[in-house]
Amino acid sequence: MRYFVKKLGIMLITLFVISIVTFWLFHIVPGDPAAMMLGTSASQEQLDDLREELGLDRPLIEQYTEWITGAVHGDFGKSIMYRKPVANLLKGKLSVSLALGAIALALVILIGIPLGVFTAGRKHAISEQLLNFVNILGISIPGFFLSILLIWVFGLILHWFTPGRFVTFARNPVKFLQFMIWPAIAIAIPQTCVLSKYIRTAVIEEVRSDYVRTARSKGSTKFRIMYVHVLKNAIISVVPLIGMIVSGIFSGSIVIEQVFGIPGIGRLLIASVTSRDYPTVQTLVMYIAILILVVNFIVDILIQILDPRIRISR
Amino acid sequence: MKKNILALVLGAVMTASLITGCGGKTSSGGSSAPAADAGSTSSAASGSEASGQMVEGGDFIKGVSTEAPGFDPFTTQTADARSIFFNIYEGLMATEPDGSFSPALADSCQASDDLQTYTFTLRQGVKFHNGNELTMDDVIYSIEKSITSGINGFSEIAQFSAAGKTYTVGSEKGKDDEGKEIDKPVVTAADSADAPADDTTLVINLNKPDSGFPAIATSPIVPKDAEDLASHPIGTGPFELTEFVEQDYTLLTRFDDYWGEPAHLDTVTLKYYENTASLATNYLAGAIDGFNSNAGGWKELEGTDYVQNVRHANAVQLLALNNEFEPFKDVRVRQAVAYAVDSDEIIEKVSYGLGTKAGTPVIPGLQKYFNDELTNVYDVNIDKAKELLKEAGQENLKFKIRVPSNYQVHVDTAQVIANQLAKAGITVEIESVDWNTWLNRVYRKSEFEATVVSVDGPIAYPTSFLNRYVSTASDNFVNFHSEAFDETYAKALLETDDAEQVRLFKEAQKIISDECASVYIQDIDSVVINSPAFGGFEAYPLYVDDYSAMYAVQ
Repeated sequence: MRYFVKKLGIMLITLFVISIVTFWLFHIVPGDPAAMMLGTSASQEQLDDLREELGLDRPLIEQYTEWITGAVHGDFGKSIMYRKPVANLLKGKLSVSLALGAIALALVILIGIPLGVFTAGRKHAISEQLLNFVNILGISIPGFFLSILLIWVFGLILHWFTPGRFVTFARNPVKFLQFMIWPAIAIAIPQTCVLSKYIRTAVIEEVRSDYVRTARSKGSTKFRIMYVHVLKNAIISVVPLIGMIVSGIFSGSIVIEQVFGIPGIGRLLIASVTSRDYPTVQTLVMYIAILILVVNFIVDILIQILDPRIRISR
Repeated sequence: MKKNILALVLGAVMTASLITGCGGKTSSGGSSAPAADAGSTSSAASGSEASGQMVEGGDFIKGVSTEAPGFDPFTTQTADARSIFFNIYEGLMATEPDGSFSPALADSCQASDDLQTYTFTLRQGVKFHNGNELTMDDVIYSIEKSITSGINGFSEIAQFSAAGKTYTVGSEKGKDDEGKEIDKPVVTAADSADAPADDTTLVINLNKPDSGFPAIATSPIVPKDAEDLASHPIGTGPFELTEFVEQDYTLLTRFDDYWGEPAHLDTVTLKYYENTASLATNYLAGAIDGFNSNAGGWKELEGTDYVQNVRHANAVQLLALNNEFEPFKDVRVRQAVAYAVDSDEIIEKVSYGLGTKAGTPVIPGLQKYFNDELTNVYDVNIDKAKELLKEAGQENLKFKIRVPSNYQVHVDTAQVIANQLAKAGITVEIESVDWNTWLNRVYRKSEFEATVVSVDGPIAYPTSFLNRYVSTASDNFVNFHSEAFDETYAKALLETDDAEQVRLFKEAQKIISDECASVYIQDIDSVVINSPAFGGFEAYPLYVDDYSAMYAVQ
């Protein structure tokens, strides 16, 4: 129990530090959101009025204190770019990105685990060599390039989907899925390759264990040994990887949302950075940080539950 | 597999007809002006357009790469926002494709002989998108709002009167963000016996004669009780904004109670893509029906079906030289740079031949005022450039071009310029910065040595392009100072004789050219790609898309 409290405390401190660093970093970047909004033909009066209205004329510390006090109470301020509460702005975007992330995560798990087990079983076969090569390729290929490739092959040549025509889930769930599966694939491929590589190593390791020999001598089938005994233990050893995969999926989706034209938080983040929309950037960074920290926290707890061997006594 | 190119090169964009548009009661009336080149821009129907029949209804999806930062016309002044405003808001006057002005929410406009008083009569039976009828109160509110928000051109209004009241423009002391004292305009209302008593007449008195006031009177009229125009714009235009999803799309729907001829299309969706390069791909994929292609982007479409419309972007691309940068303080150095830059090569290489050589800050499309004698003054002459540099003792001239990275066309131009200047022994370093940094440091604070950018004008009138060269102008980012220019320009503004005013505006441009304030390269043609399933493209002397003229073809 004390362990969790300690973990929680570290999490809060991390969040606090992240909030200060992003706030400070962002304000030393040159640029003025007021000038961006008003364009080149704005008068000095218009600029001054807008800066005052947005509170940009006040000292940094004051701006930060106000933001953090609001944030603690669930009020993330108003977006400079759209002049509406950041929370409202995020509502629609967050669900899109979470859906994209969830589909990608499902693909990673559903394909990565069987693939890893499959390759582990065929240690010297040609198919294993080939899969290994594809794996390395999948890990090293940049996400945006993969996206362009998918758009070109499946969108422009085969016409399996219409690139650039994103439809919201509420409007048409089928079309939403038909479209979202492609960016999800682009995000999932590198992560799937990483996961299957880890699973493969873990499985090979487990196969050498005593209990496998025992099971074999008992006359269990190869299939049963592989998918019941070995896999269970192998998966436990890759659970810590899930935290990494989730952060990989989120950082990957920031780029991939741009290429596929998906109005999620990745796109909003880049847009708000270029327009110097401080409150939105700050809130988005916090959201992403919280998400990653929470996932890692859950993974920590999961490990404790699944594997009593590494349960911490203190 | 047919490809159609309708070159809608704008002819004379501004002729004196702008004055006939306003009652024709002027000293040197528009009727005598040459209407011959009053560039009719409407396209001759081309092959693919003629292949189908115009049908009512239809949904048009346009791919765009910039989003309007809100829809309040009094606070948002970006070119792309104005392009949307053109479809949802209207002013007392409206800009026509040929550059003239016609009454819109006013059904008549009379100018006094001295061009200092304008009388408008309000059109009856006009409805706002919220269903309310347009009244004089809305007009007064909108004018007041335009004055206090400092909208371009409204500072020349001294007073206006309607419905038994006179509104006088004064000023009060305020402070800018650096704590400097500045004058802020205020409007005070008082009952007046001189004011028109009825609800339909509006009289506007200017503090100086201005034949260009109809251009200013195109500024939007909004309902006086409108609360949040930024997210809920309400106008009187042929389209109303029905949905806006940040980072995704803007939906315009036909306004059925429109007072004029209603639009043909049911809806227009402006689908937003952050990446300009993806527009062509999305067109090929069939996700969008049209897009504005920047120089060369249309090359990707080779072999497919599309209609290419070419129009002036109505912005002059220039190599802006900071006249305060030590070497550029010497006019000979500025001229040397101008002689070393080959605008023709830039047009050829960067805009694939789709550009019009400029030579002056005024857009070539404003034919009446554009001084075409200046176009070739600084034609490339490397020997002359070297000679001038030698005279000025700047043989080893070195400077930095700070260019906005989001405009590929300007980045490319900077690279071509760097190569051209190298021939004259000038070393150029290119630094690309993001748009926000550019706006803030280069444009607002003049922290640059040279930059490449296009400058457009909010209204189709020479003041839009020349005013920034006045020594005291706040947007004089090149720091140009010339007493001769200031004098000539001030005289031009006050001149009531049309021909003389044109001469003075041209003279002012000649001073800018002689002093070589900067290097004026070209007005880059803007290429509008539409699917052959849609027709009715109109080109304007403004950076706008008119969706009310568009229609579906079957």
